[in-house]
Amino acid sequence: MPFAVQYPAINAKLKALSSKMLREKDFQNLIELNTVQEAFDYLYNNTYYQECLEDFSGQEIHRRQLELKLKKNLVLSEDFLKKYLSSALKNFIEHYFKKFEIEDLKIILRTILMGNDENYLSNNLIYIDRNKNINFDNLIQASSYNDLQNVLKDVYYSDVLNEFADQYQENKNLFSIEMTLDFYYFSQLINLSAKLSNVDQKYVNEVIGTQIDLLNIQWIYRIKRYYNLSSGEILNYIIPFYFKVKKSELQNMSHVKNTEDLIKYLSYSPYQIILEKAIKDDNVIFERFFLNYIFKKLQKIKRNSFFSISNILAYLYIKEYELRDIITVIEGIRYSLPKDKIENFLIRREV
Amino acid sequence: MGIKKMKKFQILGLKKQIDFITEEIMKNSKIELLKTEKYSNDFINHQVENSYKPYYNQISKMIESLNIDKKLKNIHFNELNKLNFEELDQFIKPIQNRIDKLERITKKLNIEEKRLNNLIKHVYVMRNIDIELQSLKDLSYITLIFGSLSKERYNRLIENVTELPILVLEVNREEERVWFFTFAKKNYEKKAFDILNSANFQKIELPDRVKEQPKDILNQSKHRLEKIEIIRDQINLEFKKLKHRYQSKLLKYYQQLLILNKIIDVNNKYYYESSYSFIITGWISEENEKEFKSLILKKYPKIIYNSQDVKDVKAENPPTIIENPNWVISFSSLVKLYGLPKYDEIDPSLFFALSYILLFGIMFGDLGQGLVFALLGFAIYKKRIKFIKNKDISYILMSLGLSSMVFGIFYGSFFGLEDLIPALVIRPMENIMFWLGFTVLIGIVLLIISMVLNLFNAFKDKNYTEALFSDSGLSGLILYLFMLSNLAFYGFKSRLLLPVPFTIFLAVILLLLIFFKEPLGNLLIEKKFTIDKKISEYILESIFELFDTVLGFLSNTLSFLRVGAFTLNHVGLSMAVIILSEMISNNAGSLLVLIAGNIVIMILEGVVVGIQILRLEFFEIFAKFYSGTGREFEPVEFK
Repeated sequence: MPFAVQYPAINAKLKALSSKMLREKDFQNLIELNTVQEAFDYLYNNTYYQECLEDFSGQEIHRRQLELKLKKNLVLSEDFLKKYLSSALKNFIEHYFKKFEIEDLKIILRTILMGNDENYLSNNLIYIDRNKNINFDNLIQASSYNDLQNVLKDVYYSDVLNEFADQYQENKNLFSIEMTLDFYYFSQLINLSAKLSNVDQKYVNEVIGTQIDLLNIQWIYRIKRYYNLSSGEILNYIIPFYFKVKKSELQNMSHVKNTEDLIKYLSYSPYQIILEKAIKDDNVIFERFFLNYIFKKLQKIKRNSFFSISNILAYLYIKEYELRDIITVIEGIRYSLPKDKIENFLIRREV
Repeated sequence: MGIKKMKKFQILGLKKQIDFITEEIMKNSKIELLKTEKYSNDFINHQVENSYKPYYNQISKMIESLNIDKKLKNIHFNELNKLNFEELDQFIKPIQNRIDKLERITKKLNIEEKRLNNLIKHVYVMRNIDIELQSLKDLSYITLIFGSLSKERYNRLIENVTELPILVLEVNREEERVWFFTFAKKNYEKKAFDILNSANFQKIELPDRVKEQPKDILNQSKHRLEKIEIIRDQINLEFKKLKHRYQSKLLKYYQQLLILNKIIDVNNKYYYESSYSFIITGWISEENEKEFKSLILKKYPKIIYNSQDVKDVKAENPPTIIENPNWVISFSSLVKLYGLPKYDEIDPSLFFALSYILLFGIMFGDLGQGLVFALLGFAIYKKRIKFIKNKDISYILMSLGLSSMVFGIFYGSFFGLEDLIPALVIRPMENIMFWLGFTVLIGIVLLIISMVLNLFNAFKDKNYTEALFSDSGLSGLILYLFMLSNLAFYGFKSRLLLPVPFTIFLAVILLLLIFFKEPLGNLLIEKKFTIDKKISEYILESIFELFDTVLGFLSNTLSFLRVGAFTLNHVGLSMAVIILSEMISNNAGSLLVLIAGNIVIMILEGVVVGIQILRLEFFEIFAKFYSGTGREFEPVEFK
């Protein structure tokens, strides 16, 4: 199906779904609550999450259960999106959701390294059980890297696992595996986006390109702040796609001594501003600034075009951020954080 | 015939009997258990740790490693309680150790083999260099590192190593990987490794002891590879020995564990327990129940067994089991492509099978080719053809073949030759218009039957709106018949059945009934002439639907023209083959063309006709009366 024909139907559906999303007031109400049970009741009685939380109604709820259920609900949108889409666009969206699978895989790898039990896994995995090529029972029973390789031998990232098998046995270090999985995910995503129409590619760059840019900046920023790696190593680990940050800028940044100097080499001013704010902020959490920046960008993109991928991307990201904020609030409530502090951790809160 | 009557049963018993009840349910193998039944709050779903599972997994793995076939023909339930974990441990451990050891060695061999192959590949590139590699390795101021990277990573490495005193020298390049030497100053060795590792560099060790030139390394490596092969054979022999010695005992344990493990899984999944008792709910067919009930009550008199008929199909959603003679069941698999019948729906399998066979015969009537199909089906039935084991196919092929033969006799067609046997009834090619009309008539009969079936279904379902006012209900049926009879009458007598105003009046009344389907239905049920939607919406929707209905009658009927068209098509293709064969002067050649042509016709047309009929059945016929929204029966059984 040509791209333009696919969009009106899905976009109408997304418009309807977006209208049900949580509003500013909902978050204010949620923050005011005192227990996880109350938060559950609020979500159940006042929001569209009612349907997904139906199983728990009338039961005592635990934070973990609630979070797992909500997260699982997030990945469900893959099903209906795929129903509306075809060809290149479908492939792209399908791969987009693989990021949840990769997150799951990281959890499994860490579990194998640390030796948690099966139950821990089934309580924390949100996506990987949907993959038909994986035998889920065998997966959560896998107790060694080898087992894992066997269970996942038909999956597309088995190459990555095989490549690192020897190295893992030697130093039990997951760092480079995880980095490579992420790298693999993004490069695949960018490849698939090349098959989309020009307008769509523009929006993919706008959203995912920004995300990659900011991930790279964050990477260098953290290394400079907390670790000491050579510039070659830093550059080997960045995601090699460049949207508003030039390759040469990243190379220059990999050489600086102080985090403050990083700003000098960034030419794109919005990024400069985010980085500057992050450095000045006491908490030094770059991620908050960067997510908020993307969040604002999405709000703009959302209204742009009815005949492009922009709505889908905006929906996916905003929905994810909404969930992250809900979980932030629930965790804040659980650990009795002061209200204004919880407020401060929300992605939607202006920084 | 038709759909089996189901009953919903509940068993209430003492907790200590749980395992035995599960065992009986599994022995029966035709019982479906329900997970989501609501019980009183005293009963909760209790999870027990399954201590059989690790053993079960371990033994399955062992059986796989030893390459033993673990498909069990029939499962015996005896000796279950004799399983002793200690004994089992003692039995398993030594075997497991042996297997582990052998697998470890195999793995080492694999690694070594891979390394050697790798080495051979790379040293081969350097075979013409007559320097001793060792001397390169022993340089005093410079370190030599040899290894490989993916192409993409290699390119990035080249860009990123600009600031270090490192020299990278490409040796060999394949599709995705690059092999290269890295030279670094001794005091930069660590830095060089850091950066290489961060690119996920795979180091290749140059052999230590070898002092010779590359070509000597090659020879030596090849020699070692041969040795590895020999060790491999020995390991395989060991595996075979193990298999031979322990196979029967392993399989015995495997079977026990399979059952015990499944029992616990079933218990955890479906049972609800209070302090002393348990409760479980499921579906069982009526005929199966008699036997099961008496058996289970005789063995465990203290349990309470209770069952009831299906009252509300929508709410209870019982599973569907289709019961039919074998030859109809094989067609049921095609019906399932559309969907399983709902529990209270008429099973269309028989109607489907009969109409399919009839239409196939009409469209593909040939005594000889039909015989080939029938024989092929018979061969599959007798298991003469190794790669097709599916019985369904044999029944389908046999019945379609026979039908094709019968119609072949009617048409006088034998392997496409029209002049060999006389036509018993008609030669379609000589009466084209009559033949097309005749097949449309068959279509009309099929359509009327399916509308009548819809009436049955709707009345059974107590859906009077659908039965009386829908386009494939009573109003639609009358309208269709009325239109047809008028058309026929006009064709023969050049005038309508009734005077024109009367005809129009009747048609309009019927159309209005269909148009006001929903409010009329509401009038019937709730005694109120209301519409649930907005009036404007309803009217717009209904106008389109009405348009679609009238058009649908026409197009559905004309769709059956293809039946006649394919009869002609078949004759036409055969003629083409015969003409081709006559063009060849030598006899053997023309026979060959005839045979090849017939094979092509059988495969090509056989498939096309099969698909066309499926299309007719699904679109024209099933759409009229069949919902196909039934639920598959999923008994507790071993996978």
